Amino acid sequence: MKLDSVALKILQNRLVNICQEMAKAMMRTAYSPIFSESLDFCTILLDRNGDLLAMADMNPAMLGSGALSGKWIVEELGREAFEPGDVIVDNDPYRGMCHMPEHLLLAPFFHGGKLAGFVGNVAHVGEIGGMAPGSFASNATDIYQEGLRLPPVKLMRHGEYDESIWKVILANHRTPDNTWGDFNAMIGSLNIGLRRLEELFEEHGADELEEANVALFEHAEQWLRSEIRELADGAYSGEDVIEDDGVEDREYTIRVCVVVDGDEIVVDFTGTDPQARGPINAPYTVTLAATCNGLFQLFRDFPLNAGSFRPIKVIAPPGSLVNVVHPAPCVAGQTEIQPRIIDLIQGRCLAQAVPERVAAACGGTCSNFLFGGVHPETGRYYAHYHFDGMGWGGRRFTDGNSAQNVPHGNCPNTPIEIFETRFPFRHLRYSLRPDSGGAGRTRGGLGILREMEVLADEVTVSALYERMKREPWGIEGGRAGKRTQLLIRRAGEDEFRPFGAVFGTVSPSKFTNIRLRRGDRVLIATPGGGGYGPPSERDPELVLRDHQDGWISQEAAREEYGVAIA
Amino acid sequence: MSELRGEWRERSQVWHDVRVANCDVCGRLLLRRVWRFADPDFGELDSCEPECERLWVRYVRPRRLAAGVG
Repeated sequence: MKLDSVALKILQNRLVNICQEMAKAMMRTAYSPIFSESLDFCTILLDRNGDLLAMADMNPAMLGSGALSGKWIVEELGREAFEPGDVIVDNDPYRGMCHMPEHLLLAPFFHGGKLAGFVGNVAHVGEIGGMAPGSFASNATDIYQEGLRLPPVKLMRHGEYDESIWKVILANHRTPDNTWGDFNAMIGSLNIGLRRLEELFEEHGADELEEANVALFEHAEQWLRSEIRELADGAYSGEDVIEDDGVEDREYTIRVCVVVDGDEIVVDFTGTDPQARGPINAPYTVTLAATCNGLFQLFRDFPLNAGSFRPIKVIAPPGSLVNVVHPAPCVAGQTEIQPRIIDLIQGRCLAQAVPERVAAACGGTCSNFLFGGVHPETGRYYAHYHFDGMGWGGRRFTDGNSAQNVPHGNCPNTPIEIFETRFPFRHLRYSLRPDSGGAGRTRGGLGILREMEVLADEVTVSALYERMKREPWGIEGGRAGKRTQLLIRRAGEDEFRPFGAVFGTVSPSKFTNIRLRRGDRVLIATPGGGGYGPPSERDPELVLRDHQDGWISQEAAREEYGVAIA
Repeated sequence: MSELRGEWRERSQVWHDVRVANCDVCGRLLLRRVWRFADPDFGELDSCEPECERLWVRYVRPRRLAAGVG
């Protein structure tokens, strides 16, 4: 080995920095707010076998894609299928992707005429067709209603657009200009990655880097194994439910057993309910990402690469809620199943072993609100995938974060200025939601309140939320956070009512293609996180501070914490 | 560590057959080749990697037998 441990660390950081630079390029050149504002993407480097070398710290929801999707493309197509200047696109959730809006673009890197690695990015494309604008069809009953599915195919050949596939894609998306711009932002990011890899290979040579990769994988694996060894051996089980699938009014149960055995962990989802008719199913890569996010958040900051996944085995029965098979829909697995699994692994399973490291349940929903229509000012079709923050669960020593995207998402919101510039809505209120955080020694984080008015003659909206029927639970004696509310006030009326009551939807939280008109108002109230520890043990000074900040009412201070505020 | 008995086998699938198959042990996608091994109670199993045979022997098989599956 020519590189010592210091040089290896520098190399690891350099690989991550290449991913970060690729990500910045995507952010700056994209057309859609979901790229440029919400940063719903990640960038990756793979070795020539498709094994993960590095990943930008953008969106951890795509951890499963980083670990498997690129590798599976390489295995499916074969290394001989790649030529310089090629770019592969793939969004097929049955072949390793997370849900259809997320597209993986993968470009081979050649050095000295030999395949030496891959650069890639995974990004949530805001509109890919299907039965609902924004491509989040909450009551879809098969994959074909969710948009255009692409198995791994070449988007670019020898550096040139493959016009046939581009025409198919652009003809099937409602906002093809955005797709054109966003895909080209992704390709530009890949080109930066290829240039930086070329510089790296020129500096070190292929042999030295290949040897270094093996050492980096080994280092990450041993780091993870040492973390796992600190956990007490045992089998830790738990279960939780998804409230409904948007199609039938019934619950679906996820069951998991986390088995810690020396320096390995088996996470077994056997016993989880069969896949649902509606879109709440998760592909294997989502279940893997959720499992690893749930575990990795408990460990010290470690190098992330293919070696990090080796000590963790995930068993997910095909045809179940956690490993969807054709033709079931699955757009919501990434947004709703993933946070539920993270909560389960931490707050229900490993709370039995390391309660000091885990959190109570978070709000547990990405609060997906989709809309589209013809913009009254431009006359052009628009569509947008909007999501909101909510409260995270309290932890042993700190309150849960407020108004943040789900813990696996890491996505900022779309600022109101951007929102109103691009789409025909006017905001009337956007604030933290008082009293929404579950009471506890440490309090759950607060959800948000967002009220907005429609400024077009017609807007078609869809929604996909969770935690509207069951509250985010507390742990160690902490209380539950407040549930989701999604309300509509029709123009000319003076009362907000649930969407289900106004439009007769099967699910109050999951519906598709509701037509709103000018003057209608939507009120979104996202859930708070669960509390940690008995509320009676909370420092009264903190209760007073929360009240002074407007985060809890006088009544809640008295009833939840027994603190009287004059 | 148990001795592995399986071996790699190529999967043949024509390009216009877009169906996928999953690992009998962990549920992952099966691609161009599978790690195939035999079990006296469960017959021939197709898995995604040799590590899955180990997982089968030490974890999955005992649980399935205990649950009366097989």
